[in-house]
Order: sequence, then structure tokens, then C-alpha cells
Amino acid sequence: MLEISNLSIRYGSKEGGVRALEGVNLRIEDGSIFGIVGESGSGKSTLAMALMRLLPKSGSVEGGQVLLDGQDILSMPDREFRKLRGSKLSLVFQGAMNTLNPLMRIDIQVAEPLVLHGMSEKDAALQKAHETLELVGLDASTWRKYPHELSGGMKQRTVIASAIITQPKVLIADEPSTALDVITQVQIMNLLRSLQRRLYMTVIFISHDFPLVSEMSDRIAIMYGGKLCETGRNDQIMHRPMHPYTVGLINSVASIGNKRKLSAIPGDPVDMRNPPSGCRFRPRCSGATEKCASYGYAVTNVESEHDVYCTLYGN
Amino acid sequence: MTEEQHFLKIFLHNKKGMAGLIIVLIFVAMGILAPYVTPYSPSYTNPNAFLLPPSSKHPFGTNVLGQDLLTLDFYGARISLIVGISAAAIAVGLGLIVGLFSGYYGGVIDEILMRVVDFFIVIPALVFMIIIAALLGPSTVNVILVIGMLSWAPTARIIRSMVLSIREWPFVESAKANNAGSLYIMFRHIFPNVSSVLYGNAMLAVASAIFTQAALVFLGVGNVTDISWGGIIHEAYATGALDAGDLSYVIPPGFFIFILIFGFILIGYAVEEILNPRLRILKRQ
Amino acid sequence: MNEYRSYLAKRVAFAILSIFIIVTFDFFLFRLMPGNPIEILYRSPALTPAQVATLNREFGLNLPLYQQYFLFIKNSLTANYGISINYRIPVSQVLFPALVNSLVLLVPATVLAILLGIVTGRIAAWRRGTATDGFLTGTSMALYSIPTFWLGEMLILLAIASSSLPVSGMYTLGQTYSNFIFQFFDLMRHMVLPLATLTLVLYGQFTIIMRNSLIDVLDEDYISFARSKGATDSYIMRRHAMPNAELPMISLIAVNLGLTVGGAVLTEVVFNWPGVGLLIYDSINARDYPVLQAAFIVVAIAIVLANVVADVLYSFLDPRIRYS
Ligand SMILES: Nc1ncnc2c1ncn2[C@@H]1O[C@H](COP(=O)(O)OP(=O)(O)OP(=O)(O)O)[C@@H](O)[C@H]1O
Ligand code: SF4
Ligand SMILES: [Mg+2]
Repeated sequence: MLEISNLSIRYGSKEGGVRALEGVNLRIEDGSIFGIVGESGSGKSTLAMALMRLLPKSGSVEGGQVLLDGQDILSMPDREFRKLRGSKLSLVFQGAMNTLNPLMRIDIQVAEPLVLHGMSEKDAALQKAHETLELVGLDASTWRKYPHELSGGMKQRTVIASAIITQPKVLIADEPSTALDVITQVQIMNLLRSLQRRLYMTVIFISHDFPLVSEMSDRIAIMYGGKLCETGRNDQIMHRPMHPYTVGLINSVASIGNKRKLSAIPGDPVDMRNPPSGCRFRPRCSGATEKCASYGYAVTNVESEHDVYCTLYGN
Repeated sequence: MTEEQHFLKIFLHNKKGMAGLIIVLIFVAMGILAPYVTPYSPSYTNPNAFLLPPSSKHPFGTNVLGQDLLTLDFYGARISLIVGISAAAIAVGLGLIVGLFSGYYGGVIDEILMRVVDFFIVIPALVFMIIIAALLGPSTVNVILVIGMLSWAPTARIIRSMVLSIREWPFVESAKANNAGSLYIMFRHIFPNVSSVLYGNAMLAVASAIFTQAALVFLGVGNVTDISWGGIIHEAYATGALDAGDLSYVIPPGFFIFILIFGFILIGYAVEEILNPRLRILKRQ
Repeated sequence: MNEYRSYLAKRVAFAILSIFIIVTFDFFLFRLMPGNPIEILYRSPALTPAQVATLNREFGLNLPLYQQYFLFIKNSLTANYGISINYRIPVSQVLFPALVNSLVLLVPATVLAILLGIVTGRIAAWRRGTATDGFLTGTSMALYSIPTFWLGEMLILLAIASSSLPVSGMYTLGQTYSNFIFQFFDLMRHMVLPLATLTLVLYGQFTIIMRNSLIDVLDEDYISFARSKGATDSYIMRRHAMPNAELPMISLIAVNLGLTVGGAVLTEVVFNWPGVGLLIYDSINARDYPVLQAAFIVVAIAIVLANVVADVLYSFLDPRIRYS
């Protein structure tokens, strides 16, 4: 179980920087696929990097707590956390196919986590890497190749292999299929789903593609401008959307058919350096009232497991 | 604000760049004001007062001809700056032209020009310059030409790699579509986008030209009749003043070369830092 | 694999072409320069009639220019450079021992400077933005700015003042050695100052190259990727950052060899080290054109060949070239 409470992340200094994440609360159950959706800049990758404690130097945790099976992973010492990173908790980066080291054979890169965590000796790790590469659909002819010899989809599979080789409890996949062609995209999604079942992992699936998230996930969180809008089970979000932004997303998908685009909601994305007061979605929200300008993001539990952050619902 | 004004604004806040600029300006002032601030005329010789140790009359002592070394050290700034800047101008100008043509036209022209660049980058320039300068005979103009002609290749390589990407930009495409001439596009559209790199590069070129000029004169193949820092060191070396441990003869001119080069290097590095912020030495947040 | 071969073939072809151009340039430089040094040379009263006859036969001075040119190429490639005016013996007998002496100084200095540069460049990049970085980068830029010959002279002044180390030559003049160890020890003592000079001036440049290429590499995605697997900082440095940063180092070192040789020439002159640099210096003063003409070719060819070696090494270490 991964419990994120009141997490806030800032980039840069107090005066000049941006607060990329603010007061995020999520409960992610074991063995499920948890989808996080939001448009570009809404803070999805920031959340992923914060969970991995891989924020760049300019990024810092302003507040909040993250408990992995009851263990506070943000406050534990670096050395302790490093034992979890890449073994119990793994990440497939956004743009993962560009993250391979050009000078290293891919099977060695896949085997690295096992060696780093002392889980196997070099030879055994390499053996396991080959099995894992096979598992993600790369046959023996590719194992000893270098990254530049592989296609984008193959590189993506390689990165996924290196993330699952230690059989992590939680796998964070940040836009794992963006920048791939549609067929490869589907293949990668099927792969993730089957791996999740097979290894009984918790997968945090991050994407700006709402239909894709709704197809993949058991539970969904919708983010806007570094804040949560709505969280709930897949059926709750899809059938009883509450937040005006969620409603807009669902309508836009319906209206433009299979052209999956989020920008169909009129208005510009939030300027994170200079966000509006109260609800961040206010300038684009057709149902906005005066209350919204001073909205303090109090949460409303509209039904079991279904939370909404909006003044329309009781606050 | 134009690109260049913006650049200038950042530069004025760069500590290294400003330190370098101040150093260079001090030496420029030294060269210009030499006649007004030095105690003697540079041509004044005194056979009775040769190789004097430092004194209140001659703070750095005198040389073999009895000339005041402090005076000569001040005048020496002139040749270093003149040769450094003129040779760098030739080198950077040639490099710019080759880089623009190579990157803009691409194809066979690019291939040929780049092999020529490779050639000039690889050859041991100083050895060539020593021999060529020795054959051409000692003259400051020859030294400027030789340094300039043998130092343009690095600039050409950098400019070319920038032009390769700039020529794909939409405004270049549209200029082409409007039938603008190639030369016009190169100098009117592409040049402004490589100019800051060019200036940074020019500073490094000046630094290396100052060094080379001093080295050639030190080796006796430059013009030893002009007053220059390299010449003073050459003289000290040739007359045995060095072995005699005559500190005030050898230390000041070399130190001046060192600091002047350091000034130009600082400016060049500052420009590079501004263009590639990752290199910057910033306080951690 | 085929493309790899054709890459190497291209580099070798370029090297051969470069050498050809250098030889050609050298030929015309010494013939078309004001005063035609070569003509002067063969009228030199220092030569015996027998030597003049040999030169005429070997260099064909009475033949048309193009035939002289082909003869020159043939002679250059067979290391037949004529007779030194100054030393009155074949140029190759003067030049090649000097080349060995140069390498005795140049190779250790370059290796030392590169190793030091890698170590400090690595520290500076890792501590980017700290006072340590500022100090290391600052001293490197200062050392890079110091004129080689002046730094050498400063060290000479120090050595004279403390009368601690020899400041001239490779061995003590007139010394005979009872065994090899003493001779070696004497060489080491003579080497300290020139080696220090050359190492110091080269060091700054390598530190800055190393630091900047490492900083670029540390920002690459594969570094975060390695970190996400649970790698420690030192593991990331060793296995991912350094190999990627050292690769551009190899080609930059090769490209800068010309500069390195320039530094060596000045160091040799200052410390009277009997290498090619000092030979060139002496030959200019003695108007020993055959030696100059040969030195020009030999130094240039050595550098071109070193670049070929660097290309091969680079392509061997970079799988993107090796398997393409
Ligand atoms: N290293 C950084 N320094 C400063 N600001 C940053 C940094 N990384 C991200 N940000 C800012 O934080 C906000 C959230 O960025 P983040 O990358 O988390 O968005 P995202 O939801 O992943 O977007 P995308 O869909 O484009 O990947 C943005 O406003 C972005 O500009
Ligand atoms: S809080 Fe107000 S502005 Fe924000 S989504 Fe709800 S109604 Fe719209
Ligand atoms: Mg993202």
C-alpha cells in the first residue's frame, strides 16, 4: 500500500520558483493499476520523480508524507532509500527510450538492478536479464545489442525489463507509450497489463491520454495545475464524473471521437508561476462561482472511494 | 530588446566576464597612456647605465642598452594587443566565412571544407609558424598574417555546426522561398544567430594569438626590434640575465602576458557559460 | 561492421592525403620563399664538393621542378632528408635521436597532465557550483593562460635561487656514469623542471575539457536512469558518467596534440632539452634548412599518425561507430 498525504513540491526558490505539486493525497492499493491523468505541466512527472526521490537539484519537497507499507520513504536516510529504489519501487521514465546508456549492451543495463542490490552474481543476473528481455518480447538476437541498434519500441521494452527485473512491488510508468506509433503503443499497454497480473505489481500509470488511462486503470486520479481534481474507481469516474474538468475531459473525448486530445476544453493551461487564486481551473470553468476564488481545496467524499476537489460539492 | 542587447545584459552580471573585461581595459589603457605615464622615452638608451638593478629611478632596472625596463614593459602592451587582435580578426573572419559556407551549402562543399579544417586543426601550428616566420623574415605584419592564417580552423568548425541547425529554421526557409540571395541569407539571417558564439570564440583567439606572438618573439623569429614583452624575455634569456637571477627583468613582462591572456580567457569562458548555462559555477540553491 | 571498416578507411585515406599535402607544402615553402633557401643551401661553402655532388644526384637540383618534387616525395618517405649544414651529417641522424628525446619528455608530461586533468576535472564537475569547483576551474584557467616559456623561466629562477635542480640539458655535461642506474637518476633530475613546466601548462586545458564534458554527461537521462536502479554516486561515476565523458576527451586530446607539441618546443628551448624543438630553434639560428625542412615533415606526420591512432581507439570504444 502506498499512501501519499498532503505532498507539495517546489522547483526553484521561494520567491521565483513554481510550486509544481500542492497538497496531493492518494491511497494506492496493492496489486492494482492506478492511473494518473492530467495535461502537460500538471505535475505528473514531478509526482513520479518525488516518489523515486529523483527530483533535480532545483526541486524540493515542501511538505507531506509518503508511506510505502507504513514506511516513510521521504524522510528515511539516502542509504536506506537506495535499497528500495530500483528493487521495491521502480520507474519507467517519461521518454524512457532515450534513457539508455549508449555505450553499454542492453542486457547488461537490464541486469544492473540485480547486481546493484546484491540480488545475484553477475552471470546469474545476466541470465535473468535475458529471461526478462524474453518476457517483454525481445528475442535472443537483440540481447547483446547496443541501444542505437534498436527501434524505439524495443528500447521502451528494454527499459521496462530493467524496471521489472527485481520484481518490484510498485512500478511507476510515466507516459510509457507516448512517442511510439499506435500499434507499438497498444503492444506496450498489453505488455504492462500482463506483467502487472503476472508479477502482482502495483502499477502507477501516468499519461495525458484520458481514454488510455480509463482503459488501463482500476482507479484514476485527475490532476490539474499541480492539484488533484478528482479521484475514484474507474467506473465512478467514467460514469459519475463530478469535477467540471473531468466532465470536460469525458465530453471532449466523446465529441471528437477517437481523436484523443485534452486541449478540447477551451482556455489556456495554468501559468504555474502565477496561478489564479482559489481553484486553479477557475479561468476555464463554466460553472465557477465567487466561492471558487477563495477555495482552499477542501475535499468532498461524494461516495465511497470517490473524492472531489470542487466548491460545487458541499464546500 | 535584441538578442545582442539581452546577451550584453547577462554578460554585465557575469563576474568572470567582468573581471576579464576590466583586466583587458587596464592593459589597453597601459598601451595608450604609455607615453604619458612612463618616466623615460622608450628609445632612450644609456650605455653607462646598462643592466642596473631596480632602484627608485628605474623601478624594474635597465636592460643591456640601458633602457628603462618599466617604460618598455608599458609600451609592450601595444604590440601584444595589436598583434593579438589583428591576428584573431583574420582567424575569426576566415573561420566565419568558411563555417558559413560549409554549413549553409552542405554536401560536397561542406565535405571538402571540413577536411581542410581537420587538416588545419591537426597540424602543429606553432612549429609551422616558427619555420614560416623564420623564412619570411622578421616583421610584425608577417607574424600577424602567419598566426591569422593558421588559427581559423576551430572557429570554422564551431560556426559550421551551428549553421547546420540554423539553416533548418523556418525564417531561413521562408527567406529562401522569397528568393533571397544566399549571401544575403548567410549574413543577414544566419550571422546574427552565431554572433555571440563568434565573439566568445574571438576572445579565445585573441588570447592564443597573444601567446603565439610572444612565443615567436621569444624564439627570436618574430620582430625583435619592436618593443614587446616576448622580446624583453628573449633578451633577458639571450643576455644571461635570467641565469643571473635578474628578477625584475624577466618577471614583469611574462606576468603581463599571463594576466592579459587570462583576461581574454575569462571573457571567452564567460560567453561560453552564458550560452551553455550548465557550465556555470553557481551557488547551489 | 562494413560501415565501420569504411569509416576507418576514410580516416586513413584522410591521413595519407594530409601527409601528402604537408610534404608538398614543405617542398614549395622552402623553394618559393624569398631568397630560395634551397639554392642558398647548395651554394653553402660549408659543404665539400663530394657532398654537393651527392646532393645533386639525390635531390636532382639541376632537374626541372616537377622532377625535383617527385624526387622529394620519394626521399621524404624513405627518410632521406639530405645533409645537415650545421652538423655535417645526414639529417636523419640528427633528427631521429632528437625525436626520441622529445618523446621522453612529451609522453610522460601528456600522460601525467591527462591523468591529473581527469581527476580534478571529475572533482570539479561532481562539485559543480561549489567553492571547490570555483578553485579548480580558476587555477586551471590560470595555468592555461601562463606562457609556457615564462613558467619555465620562473621555475629556473626558483631552482637557481635554491640551487636544487639542474636547469639545462638532459644529462650533466661531461659526466661519466659507472652504471645505468646513475645515468637514469641524472636524467630524472634533469627532467623534473621541464616535465613540471609542460605538465602544468597542459594540465589546465585537460581539467577544463574533462569538467565540461562530464557536466554535460551528468545531465544526460541515462544518469537518472542508473540512479533509478539504485546505483550509488560512485558507481554512476565509474560505470556510466566517466566512460561517456572520456570518449570526447580522446578526440579532443588528439586534436590538441598540435598545441601540446607547441608547448614542448618552448619547454625544450627554455631548458635546453635536446629534442626536436631545440633542434628547430638551433637550426633557425644556423640557417640549417635541410633540418628544418625535415623537422617540419616529421613532426607533422607524427601528429597525423597519432590522430589516426586516436580515431581507431575512439571507434573501438564507441559502439555507435563500431557496430553501425
Ligand atoms: N526541473 C524543473 N525546474 C523547474 N520547473 C520544473 C522542472 N521540472 C518541471 N517543472 C515545472 O513543474 C511543472 C510540472 O511539470 P511536470 O514535468 O511534472 O509536468 P507533467 O505533468 O509531467 O507534464 P508532461 O505531460 O508534459 O510530462 C511544470 O510547470 C514545469 O514547468
Ligand atoms: S471549484 Fe469552482 S472553478 Fe474550480 S472546478 Fe469547481 S466550480 Fe469550477
Ligand atoms: Mg511528464
